[in-house]
Amino acid sequence: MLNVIKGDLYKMFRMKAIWILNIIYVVYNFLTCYLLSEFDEIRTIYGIASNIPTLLSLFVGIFMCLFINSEYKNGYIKNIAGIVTDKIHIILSKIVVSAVFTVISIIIYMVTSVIFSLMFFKLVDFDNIVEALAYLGVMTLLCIALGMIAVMIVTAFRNGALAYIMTVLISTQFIAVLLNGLWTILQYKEIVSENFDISLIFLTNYFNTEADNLKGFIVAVVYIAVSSVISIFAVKKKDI
Amino acid sequence: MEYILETNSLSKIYGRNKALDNVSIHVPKGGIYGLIGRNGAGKTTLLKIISSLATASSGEFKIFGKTSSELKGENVKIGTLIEAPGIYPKLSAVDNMQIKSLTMGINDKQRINALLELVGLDSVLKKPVGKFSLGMKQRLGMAMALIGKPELVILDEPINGLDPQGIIEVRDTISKLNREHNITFIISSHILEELSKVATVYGIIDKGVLLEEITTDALMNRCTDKIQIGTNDNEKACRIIKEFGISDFRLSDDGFIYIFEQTEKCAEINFALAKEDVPVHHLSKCSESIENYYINLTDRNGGNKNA
Repeated sequence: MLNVIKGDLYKMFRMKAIWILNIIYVVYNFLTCYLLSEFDEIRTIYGIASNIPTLLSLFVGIFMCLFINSEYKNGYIKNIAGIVTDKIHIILSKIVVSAVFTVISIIIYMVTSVIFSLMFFKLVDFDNIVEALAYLGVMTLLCIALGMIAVMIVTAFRNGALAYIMTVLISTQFIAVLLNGLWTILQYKEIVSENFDISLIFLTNYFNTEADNLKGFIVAVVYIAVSSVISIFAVKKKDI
Repeated sequence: MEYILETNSLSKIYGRNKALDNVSIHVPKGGIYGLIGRNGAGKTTLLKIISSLATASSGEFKIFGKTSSELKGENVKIGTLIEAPGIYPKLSAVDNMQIKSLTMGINDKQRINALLELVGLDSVLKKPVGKFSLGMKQRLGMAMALIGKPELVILDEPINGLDPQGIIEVRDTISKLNREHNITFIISSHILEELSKVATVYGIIDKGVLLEEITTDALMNRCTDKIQIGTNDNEKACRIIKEFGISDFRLSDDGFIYIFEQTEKCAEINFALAKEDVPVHHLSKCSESIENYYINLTDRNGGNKNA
């Protein structure tokens, strides 16, 4: 298991995409900080944390699509699927990759945001750092969940294009809007309960908001677990 | 004979299509097993099952004397190169080797360099493998297959798409590894002529059915120029043939005498036998190219299937 993770992490850090995506992210961050400073003079650390853009989730999703899709596309999966002691390790390792990429991106975001905020704002308030860290923890899990959805689509359907499309649609909240509309129609027709708010189960409901961390945590863990189980089932049962 | 791999009635069904039909192959330890068959014959399916990339619909196989279920959780000493070398084109040969090496729990840069030297890629260690020729990629795939010091290496169509120089390079590497490191190989190909230069045993497969398993010596005996003689007194006939000055001949299990030298003296041999009162009921001169032998064999299978 540890060996598969080592191999995946080595591969990850050799991929140019990880650095290109983060450079884009830093540039975006710089511009955001500059523009925000035009309207405000003080920035809090929690404000910085809760301002993590959709771009982060999108990049995590795209990176994981690139990562897992390349294994199938260039046939590398055939090199490792026969040698690992258990194919479960292939999927569990992807959770680690998704987590490492997310954590790196969040660290880059936070560090550069603080630096740019110190440059452009008059004051940066670090008082509510604990709340900020809690929020970042949940965001990390939500991004891992999105990455694992991409892994699930590629392993179960062997369709890289579908994974990219779904990742973009989920992270840009298009799917959430679509399902919300559909749910409203079903509620109007009295097919489903009026009391249940379907947006509670959307990953994206917890992006860029100060929503309940616990709910976000539960939703992320459920998505990670379900995606992983489906991926493990697919990688074990489907021929490669 | 000790077998490193034995399959027992392996079958694989995709929907209504039977890709493999009760295939039982026997791969001798230290040999080079050539799996011959047309495109779509079931070679890759068989190799994928053996490499744990696919599951069989029925049947079982033993590697190193253990069944696939007994091997679960063990680090099996097998190296594979199925269909195409799974490499990252933007990474160097060393990086590609290092990824697989780490995944196998090996962190030995010297071994990586030694393997790349073995396959003749030591001069292009840092070059992105996307810029490699097809032959170089295949050799890199072979080096990757050798990382875990495997005792059995499975190569699926390793010479497919290679130019003549590339074919020679790959063939020489296989022979060298087999000879110097005692690595057993299973190599699939649809080009029998090329495999005949390295293989020691052949499994001929067509439409998912294993038609024949035959050693190189037996195949050569069947294909080279020879005289086939049928007599009523083989013992006496053999003595006369020997006195005639022929040493390369064999009394076969099928009751015929096969002569492999001086085949141009067919009439003289017949005359010598007749002069010594040995009744000859069959005498023919035959030869067949390896390709023809294979084509005739697979055609007979097609005929049977269509009947």
